[in-house]
Formats: sequence, C-alpha cells, structure tokens
Amino acid sequence: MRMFQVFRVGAAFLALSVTAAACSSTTAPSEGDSTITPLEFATLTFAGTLEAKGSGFYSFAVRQAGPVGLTLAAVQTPGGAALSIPVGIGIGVPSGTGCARTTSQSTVPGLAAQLTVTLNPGTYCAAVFDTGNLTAAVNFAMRIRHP
Amino acid sequence: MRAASFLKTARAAVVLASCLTVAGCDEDTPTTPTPNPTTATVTFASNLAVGGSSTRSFDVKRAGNVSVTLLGVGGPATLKVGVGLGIPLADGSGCVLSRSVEAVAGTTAQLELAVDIGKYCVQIYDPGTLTSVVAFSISLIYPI
Repeated sequence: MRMFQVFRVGAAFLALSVTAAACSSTTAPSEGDSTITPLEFATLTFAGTLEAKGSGFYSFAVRQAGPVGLTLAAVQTPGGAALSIPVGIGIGVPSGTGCARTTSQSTVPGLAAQLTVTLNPGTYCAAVFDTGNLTAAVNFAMRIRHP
Repeated sequence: MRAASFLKTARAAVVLASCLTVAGCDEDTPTTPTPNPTTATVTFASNLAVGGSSTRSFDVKRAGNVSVTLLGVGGPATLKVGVGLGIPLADGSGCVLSRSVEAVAGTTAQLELAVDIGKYCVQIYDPGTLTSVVAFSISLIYPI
C-alpha cells in the first residue's frame, strides 16, 4: 500500500516535470538583470573645401565603444553642382597638427556610410583627402556618426 | 490485482502528463499581425523661381532607400529642372546635394539612393531652363 502511495506521488512529479520541460518559455529580462547600456549616437557634419592634392580632418570624441560611421555625403563644384568623383576618407587619431589615419578608402559620395569601424572611447579624427582625382578645389560634406 | 492497479496508475500518470503538457503551454490563438508602415510618402509641392531652388528636409528613422519622383512641373512637358538629394548643413544654411539629376516630370523615380538613419533634404532647382516661375510637385518616399 505504501509502495502505491510512493508510486502515485512519483507519477504526479513526473507529470509536472514533463509539463515544465515541454514549455520552453523564456522569462523576459527585467531592467535589473542587465547592465547593458544602449548606445547613444551623435551625428556631426564636417564640411569644407578640399584642394587638389589636399586633405582635411575633423576631431571628435567617442564616449562609448561602438561603431563609428563615416559618410562622404557630397562632393561639389564651388558652384554647387554635385560630383561623383572618388575622394579619400579615413579614420585615425590626431597626431601633432595632422590626423594619422588607421583606416581609409576611396569612395564616391553617397548617403549610406562608406566606412564603419568599431572604436573604443577616445579622441579620433575623420579625414578627407584627394587620392589624385581632383584637378581643382571641391566642396565636400561628410557625416560622422559615433557613440 | 496489484499489478493491474500499478498499470492503471501508470496509465493515469501518462495521460495526466500529456494533458498538462498541452494545457500548460499558454498558447493564444495566433492572430494576423498588422504590419507597421515602413515608408512614408510625402508630396512636396511649391513654386520654383527663375534661378532659384526649393528645399525640404526629412528624417529617416532606419536605413533604406529614398526615392524622389518629380511628378509635375508647370510649363512645357519637355522642361527640365534639377532634382537632388543631400544632407542639410548643421547650421541650417542649406542642402548639400549628394546626387542630382536634370529631369522632366514623370511617374518613374528620377533619383533613388540608399541612406542611413539621419536627416536629409530634397531640393529642386533651376538649372538655367526657366523663364518664369513654375509650380512643381515632388513625391518623396523614405524609410520610417
């Protein structure tokens, strides 16, 4: 008789265990469960004139580690006509009176980031430079999006 | 007798477990989700002066494509005007065009560009073809 009771209790446990295991539900994390801070992004516009064989840079501070995107949005004649000439863009660290580029590429203007790198907090510079395609000065506009 | 009782209890446990398994998962009847709009369509209509330009800014909330269609321009059907897409300067001093075309009005997008999240501007300008003020209408589609 006692064995019966033990068996019944065991059977009940089995039923409940199967039920619990079958529902692969997940618990929604509460705010207190995580220390992940959502990234906040700042967007800067770096615009100016780029001379033939010239370069320019703009320094900015990254507050949180995360992706930094450079978008060479526009290259124009001094009169304002949009050009599709490839120009160099890069990211580096300020060095003396210049910008020591660590990543760079040549790109035509567009409105989606052409260069994205993940950076740690610190001070960096976004550079624009002639890769040999300019025969005269052009105006440019670059967008820098960083955390 | 005892064995039969064992079997009965075991069967009952299996049935109970199966029932609880099915009933325990609190599954609601699936409903068809209402899709959120992923693009905004706006009409930008105004007048364009001789030698002038007209600009409108807009916010893109997610990466995607922006499409600009010059639907109508007053004057002859062959009249070409400039249409461009770019970014507004931070000081509000204008719209720097990334891409521009000179086009006649039509129903096919004259400009389509991939964009990231951010502020953008569309501009219509006189490339030197206007002799008087004309009305225009531009349809702008962008991700939201």
